[in-house]
Amino acid sequence: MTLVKPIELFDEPACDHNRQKKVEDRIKGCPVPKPGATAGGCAFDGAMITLVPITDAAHLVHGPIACCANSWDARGSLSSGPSLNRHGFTTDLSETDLIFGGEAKLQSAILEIASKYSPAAIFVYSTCVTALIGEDIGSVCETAQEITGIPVIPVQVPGFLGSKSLGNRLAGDVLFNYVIGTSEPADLTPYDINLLGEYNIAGELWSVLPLFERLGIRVLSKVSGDSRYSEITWAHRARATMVVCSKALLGLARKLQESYGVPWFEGSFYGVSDMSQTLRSIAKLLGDPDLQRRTEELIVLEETKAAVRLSPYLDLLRGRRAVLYTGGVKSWSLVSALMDLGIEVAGIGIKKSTSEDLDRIRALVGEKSILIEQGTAAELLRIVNETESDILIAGGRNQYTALKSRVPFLDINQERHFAYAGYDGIVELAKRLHLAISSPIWGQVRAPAPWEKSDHQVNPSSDSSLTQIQLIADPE
Amino acid sequence: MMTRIDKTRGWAVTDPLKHSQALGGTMAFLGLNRSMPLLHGSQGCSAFAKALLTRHFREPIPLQTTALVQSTVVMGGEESLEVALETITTTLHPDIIGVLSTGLTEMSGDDSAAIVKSFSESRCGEDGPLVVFAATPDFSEGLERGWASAVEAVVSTVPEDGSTIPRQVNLLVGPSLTALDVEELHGIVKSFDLKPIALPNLSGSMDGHLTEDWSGLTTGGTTAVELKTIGRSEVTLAVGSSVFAAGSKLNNRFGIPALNYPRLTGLGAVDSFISDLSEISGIVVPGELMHWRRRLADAMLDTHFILGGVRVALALEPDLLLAISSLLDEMGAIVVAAVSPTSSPILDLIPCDEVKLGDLAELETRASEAGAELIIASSHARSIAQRLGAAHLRIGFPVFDRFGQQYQLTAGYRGTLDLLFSVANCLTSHDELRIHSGHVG
Repeated sequence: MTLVKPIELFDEPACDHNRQKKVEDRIKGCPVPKPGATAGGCAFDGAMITLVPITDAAHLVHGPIACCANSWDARGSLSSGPSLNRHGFTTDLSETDLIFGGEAKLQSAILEIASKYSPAAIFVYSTCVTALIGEDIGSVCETAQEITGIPVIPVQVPGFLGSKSLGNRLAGDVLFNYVIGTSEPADLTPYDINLLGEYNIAGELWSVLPLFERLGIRVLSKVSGDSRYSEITWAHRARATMVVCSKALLGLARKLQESYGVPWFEGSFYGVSDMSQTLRSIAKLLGDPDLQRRTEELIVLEETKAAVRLSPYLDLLRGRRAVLYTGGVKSWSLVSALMDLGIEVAGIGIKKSTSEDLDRIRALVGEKSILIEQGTAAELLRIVNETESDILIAGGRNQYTALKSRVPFLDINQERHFAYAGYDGIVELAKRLHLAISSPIWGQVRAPAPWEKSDHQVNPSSDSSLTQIQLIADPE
Repeated sequence: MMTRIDKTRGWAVTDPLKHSQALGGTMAFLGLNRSMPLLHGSQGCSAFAKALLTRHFREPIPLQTTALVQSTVVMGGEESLEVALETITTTLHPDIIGVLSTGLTEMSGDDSAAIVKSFSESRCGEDGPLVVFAATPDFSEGLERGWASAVEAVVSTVPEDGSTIPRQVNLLVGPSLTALDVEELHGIVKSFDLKPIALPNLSGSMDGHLTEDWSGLTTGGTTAVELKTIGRSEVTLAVGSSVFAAGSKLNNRFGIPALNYPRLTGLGAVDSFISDLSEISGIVVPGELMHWRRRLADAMLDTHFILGGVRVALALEPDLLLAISSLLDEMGAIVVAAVSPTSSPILDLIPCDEVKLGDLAELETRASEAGAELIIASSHARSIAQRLGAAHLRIGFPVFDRFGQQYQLTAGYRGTLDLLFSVANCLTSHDELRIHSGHVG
């Protein structure tokens, strides 16, 4: 088996805990999961999250059935065109394949997909089992690419390398090493940007793109929500990169800067103030005074419009309390959005946050919020109860943690059904929060059954209570 | 004539129908009370399974992982398994831990069975959980086999010796039944004055009920106490071919006779089950059941106009494929395509000229060629049905875009009736849609 040296994986200068001097401190930044007390996906999952949104590519999982069968057709990343990425492809390796090697089968599978579906590219994912037996998917991909003339890209990120966010990051490396810089765009403008780490969940990219269009900003490459393979090949030609809520793709942004001189910044589309700040940052990075002026005009217009649409919700949401449990960067970007709505953030998950994320959170909320290190279901519920919060905002995995305890819930992760980005998104977020918190069901499901009420007196004589009911039913 | 089984396959499985053994085993362990399934593999093995099961059941899914990383795989994952068992035991105090291996740990050669055995022994006498191990590599067979392995592991290790408990009956069920199906069958057996123990019993755990307090474990299902007594039952009723072997194991070990029912969907199939129950119990068929039989017969009359001649394509796990396709055949529908993810002896009984072992892409090809009007498969087949303009009844695993799936009955007189109405309503509402959008003719 090909061992990946952990220290190479963790060498990411743009990530702040990697600036620690000692090797041990750097590795410590990404803790080893504890057997029997671990939640969350693996590195393979993370790689798929980053790459599967490339809509016109085929995504082929080289391994036994579980890795593909458990994960395909589950991602909320929407496409405006091709849907090849929605298919689940796998070599579905059998015991015999594992004994005699699955490389020949992999090659045949790639050729089959190439001829049946004519994909723009084929991404081939290794898995724990194929990594364990030392399958050389790199050379299979190389040969297949020669035969088919289609880019065939090895994604050697087996699940056991680590967490989901490590997988996100390694997928960024794959794009940098195999895809970016392999072709040139037909035309260029001074207003071309990249979006890294935006996955068009519930189509939320589509509430942001019109804003860019109005400013004359062109999104040259999206990594990778609603993207086509070709646009990623020329990401190196953008004039600026925005890293959207993704610590994991900072490495890719840094490499684009080092190799091609594309400046980058971290931003968020969530909340009025962050959305406006993001537009300002882009205009500033592109360095055009006229663009900056037009951006300020657009911001004034959009903020005014948003304020009008938000005002009915602000009265309803002001002073409400929320516990927010989500991934690293999303924690601060959403805190800002919630604060725009007048919601008090009583608790914030920081499991995946870096110390830089923590600084941002602190700057936003001061010392008031509880920082949640280990968000087990029981711990989250305890914090919701103790802070008398009105809602838990978290990933789908925690939905039933909340609902089973009769606590209102809002899904914020990749399986969600509503788009919260941009000025339109914040209005949607306000609406969904209000609907969740103020649903008429809460009173009903929280109340005990009439006969379970502590003050309920059972009449010793059942006959007489029957008579009473009859009397009510029949006034005569 | 015996059904032909086509086992040829392409190189790339496209839109998999098959699910892993570990997933099937997890589902079975979820049917035990106060239990925690534990996947011995990388954290993704359980995270993916958990997410998928949560989507399907719309329930919190207790499921833990030994969270292997590259270095622990290389060093051997046994220690991680020990740590996980210890952690789960001390933090959650479950009654049962169901350990399942994965492709990764089967391939790396971990001796999980030995670890489980020594952990159980070291806890002997203490108030520790029952720990059961099932080997469920995902590079062979599929969901049904995994479910079967978990049930077989339980019946092989948990039951204790003792005198026969009068009128106690084991009701072993396969993964083809919904939560409410299990409750329905349990009720039928009980109505013959018998004392059934359903294994596994998703009707108590995955039926969607609101409890007083949040729990990290299952909040219903077969209890550990019940499991210890299943060796002392008078008879075993095994529903679904996937649990026949578990019935044989109980027979071999405790001499309990087993009656096997490949399906309990369809008038005739239910009739023989009810006759057997009457004979076993020495009690005449209760009036209520006879009335449900009359209702079913009436429902068959009402729906045969709609179902007769309808061209149906199905892609389901073997037991479920047999149950649904047989019912449709008995109603005069035409099974034009049948796809199964894995092999099974009962595929020979499917009322279709050929059964294809394959994926959902195969379903699409065959359904399209045969002009199928109705697709019966999981939610994953929704875009296929859309492309073909066919009606789509969501059955099987996973169903994540319809509500109340665990309340869809499919077994017994009442369940057959319920299913007939679902099929017929699916066809009529699809026709209405077609008429309104001008797609008719």
